[in-house]
Parts: sequence; structure tokens; C-alpha cells
Amino acid sequence: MFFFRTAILIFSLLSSQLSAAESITSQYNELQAKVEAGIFNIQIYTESSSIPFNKINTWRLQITDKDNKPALNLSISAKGGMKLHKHGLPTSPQVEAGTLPGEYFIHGLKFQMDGEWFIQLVLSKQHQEITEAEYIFEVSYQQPH
Amino acid sequence: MQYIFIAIALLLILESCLIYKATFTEKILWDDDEIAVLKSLHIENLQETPLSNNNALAKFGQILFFENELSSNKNVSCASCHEPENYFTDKEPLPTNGVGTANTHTPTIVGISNSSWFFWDGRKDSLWSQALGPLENPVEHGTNRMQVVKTVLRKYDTLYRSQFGDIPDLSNNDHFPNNASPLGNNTTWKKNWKNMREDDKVLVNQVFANIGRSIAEYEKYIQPGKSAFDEFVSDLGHSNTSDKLSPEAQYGVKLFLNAEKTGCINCHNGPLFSNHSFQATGISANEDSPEKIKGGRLSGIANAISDEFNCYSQYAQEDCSELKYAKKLGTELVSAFKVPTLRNIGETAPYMHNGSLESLKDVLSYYNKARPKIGVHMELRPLRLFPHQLKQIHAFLQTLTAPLASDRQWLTNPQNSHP
Repeated sequence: MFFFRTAILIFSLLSSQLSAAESITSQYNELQAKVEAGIFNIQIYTESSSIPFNKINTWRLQITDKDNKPALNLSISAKGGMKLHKHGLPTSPQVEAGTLPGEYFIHGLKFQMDGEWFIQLVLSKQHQEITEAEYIFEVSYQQPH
Repeated sequence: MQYIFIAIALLLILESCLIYKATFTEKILWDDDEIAVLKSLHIENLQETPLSNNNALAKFGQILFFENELSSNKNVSCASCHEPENYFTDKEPLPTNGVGTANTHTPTIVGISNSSWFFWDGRKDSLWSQALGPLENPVEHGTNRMQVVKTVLRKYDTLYRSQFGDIPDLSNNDHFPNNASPLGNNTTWKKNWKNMREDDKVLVNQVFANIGRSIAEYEKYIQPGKSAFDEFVSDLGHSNTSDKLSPEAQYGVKLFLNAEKTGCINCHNGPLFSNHSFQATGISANEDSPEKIKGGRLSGIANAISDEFNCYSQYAQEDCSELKYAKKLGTELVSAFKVPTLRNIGETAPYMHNGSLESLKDVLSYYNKARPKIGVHMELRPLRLFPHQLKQIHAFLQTLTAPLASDRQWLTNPQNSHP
């Protein structure tokens, strides 16, 4: 009886964690771009179809390797800015692994000017070479209501 | 060679004449892209709009905003520098209406509740914690935390209780000396604070934070009104031309929107004409001030992180994303100060974080030349506009003036209204 109850408890906990992970994933489900970088394919998802103007926002990355398998245990850093204005991001974004295989989140992105921005991702895995990926995109004052 | 110079001069004069003529004769057309950007500047996009006029916490905050007893000489209130009749500014380069002279210019608080960062250097991450800063600043209200807390609880015990519940018993002077503060330059006050028990400090801090919350709630009611510019933008919703602004002002708008030529809109965007970020304009602080070297946002964000009332503190309930992800290091933070709103800018002279530019013409002239200075970080590039173009931008900026949207009852000292 004890083992049965324990099994139910573990199953419930796992189910709730899985559904929480699914809900975070589904929150960032608007595909912005597919970026190829070295051995990696990166899909970038945002919360809404347009990138928010002057608001802290999060991007979800789904990364696969050349065999189309989820890229696990990557160390990723993100920086960016506006090349035209020669300035960086107004924030210091942080990248963390998601709960799904090959899933990562960039938190703390903010774009406070209209125009062309870039995000540079530096991906590395222990004892492997560093891969850089750059994504160039437009941010607009004009936000859909 | 002489003839070439004369020819160029004549061409420039001819161009000026043509533009001048166009200013007063032609209908100015606006394309869809321009109209879309103009709509993003419309005042209706403001997130914080005047709320109902029956907010008890805001009314309590209004009383505190005008309260002179929250100062060391019993003669300074928030309204001493943030004068309602002057769009909540004081018309001084540096504020002198406090206990002493502060080292930064008094910014307007109109629409300030829409911002994420407060003070020129962004050393506060919430409006309520900002409201606490001047109280303990030796040259502003010049008082101390305990004096503020005890005064409010003594004078407004019923009002405080109605908003925040039970009042802590601070009657034991051994535990709660009449003057105590961890900040400022008064060694007795600092010593008194240091000697207090930690849980007693928390009690006092909680009341102090609630005082800040009350003032912040009041400030939410101080919002800009619909200006001639907004009427013009509304008019363009029906047509691609409008006569709601003078041709000169409309050409000024065109220049303002031109991100390549002037770049004004890069920072002065959104319905408050500010993206609430920090920019190094090259306007330095006082020459002998340490601010010249490490001032601005660089020290502002460091102070925000160590602030005892920031969003990580036990007194806060706000989302911490802005502070968590704020840039903490970088050359662009050096001598960078907050981008001010341009709403009512024609009525809030003087300008810049140190109040060093007397008029809008001076500001435009400064941006037009934007000469780099040795040892001063600066992100501007010269606009290089003709005099008539500067006049056009000036004319446009004047169209951003409007009576506040706030009901009149919020613009006066409530104590005077009910003698």
C-alpha cells in the first residue's frame, strides 16, 4: 500500500512538472526565425508575432544538431545591439536550459529603439569548439493592438 | 574660387527661401508609415491614465506630498520643488527650495508612473522607493526616517490605519529614538539607527515604505493632457493631411521623425516621448563632482542593486525583471542620464540633468553642434541642421504643451482646500 501511494505521488509530481514545462513552451510559440550555425540549427520562438518594443521579454530557443537531435547541455551566452547606432543591448540577458530536450530560454531581452537589431549567440559544449550564431531582425514602434 | 563660394551661398539662400515659402503655402502630406509612427506617440497609448477620483490611498499620498513637517526645518515638502503650477518642476537649474541645494535638476513628475527607473541616474527601481529618497537627502528634506515615520503616525494615525491596518507602537524611545536613519551625514542619527534592534528597524522600514507607496499612488494621478500634437495625430487618422498644426511645426515633426537625420525619435519615442533609457549627452556634472567620472547610470544601477528598498527587498511586491536584467557595466552607462519626457517641454525650462541649458533653443543648439569634450563620454552626433530647421523642431516641441489630464483636486494642497 505504501509503495502504491508513493508511486501515485511520484506520478502526480512528474505529471504536474511536465504540464508546467509544456505550458511554458506553449507560451513562447511564435516562430521568429530559423538560424543555421555550424553544427546547430536554432529555431527562435517569441511570445507574440512581433517582438515587443521597449519591454522586457523572453525568447525560446529549440536547438538541434546536424543529426537533427536535440542539442543537450549547451552553454549559451547572448549579447546584441544596434550596429547602426554602435550600441549594445540595454539589458544583460541570461540564458537557461528549458525542461524539454534542446530547449533554452533567453530572459531579459529589451529593445528600446526602432530599427535593426542583432542578437549574437555563443554556443559551446564541454571540450568542443565554440559556435557563434547571429540573428538580425527589425523592431518597430508600431505594435499590434 | 571666390565665385564658387558666392554661388554656394546663393544656392543655400535659395534653398532656405524655397523651404520658407513651402512652409507657408504647401499642404504637407503624411504617408502611412509616418502616420503609424505618429500614432505610436499619441497620448492614448499611455499605460497609466488618470484613474477614478476616489482613491483613498492616493488622497493620503497627496496629503503627504504637500506635508512640510516631513523635513528638518518643517518648511519643505515634495511640492516645494515639484510645483504643480509649473508642471511639477521648479524652474531652477538646481533646486534651492529644499534645505540646501541639490546637485541635479528637478525633473517633472508628470507621467512619471509610466517609467521603470527613477532619478536622473536610475538609482531607484520603483516610484514608491524613489519617493523615500528626498526625505532623507541632507539637501532636500534633510530629515530622517524615524522622524518621518513618527510624524506620519502621529498626525495621520487614522488615515494610515485605514490604509495599512494596525499601527506599530513606537512610543519606547529607547527602542525607537526620535531621530534615526541609516543614511545621510548626521552621525547621531546614524548611530541611533545602528543601535536599534534589527526587528525594530524592519518595523520602521515597513511604515516608511508604506509612506512611499502612498505618495507613489498619488503621483499616478499626475498625467499629461491631450496636446495640439495629439489633436493633429487624431486628425491624420482621417486623412493624410491636417491643418491642426502650423506648417512650421509639421516640418518640425518630419525632422523629429527622421531617425537618420536627427535621431530624436530613437530615444524620444512612445506616448511620453521617452523610451525611459539612459543616454550620455556629454552634458557633464559639476566639474569637481565625482559624477563626472563615474556618475550617471553606472553608479545609478550600482546604487539600485544595493538599495534597501529595491524590488528584491522584503518591502516590495513588484516584478523584478528590470532590475534583474539591467545592464550593470559598460561604457554606455558612463555619464548616461535618463531620457526625459518631452511632454510640456516648452514649459519646463531649464533643461538637462544639471539644468545647465536655459532654453529649448539652447538645447537644440547644443545638439546641433554636439562637440565632443575631452574626458567626457558622449553618444551624440551633431545634427547639423539649418537655423530654419531648428526653428521648425522648436515649433513642434511647443505643440506638446497641454493642461494636465489630472482633475484639479489633485493639483493643490488638500490641507488648504479644507481649512
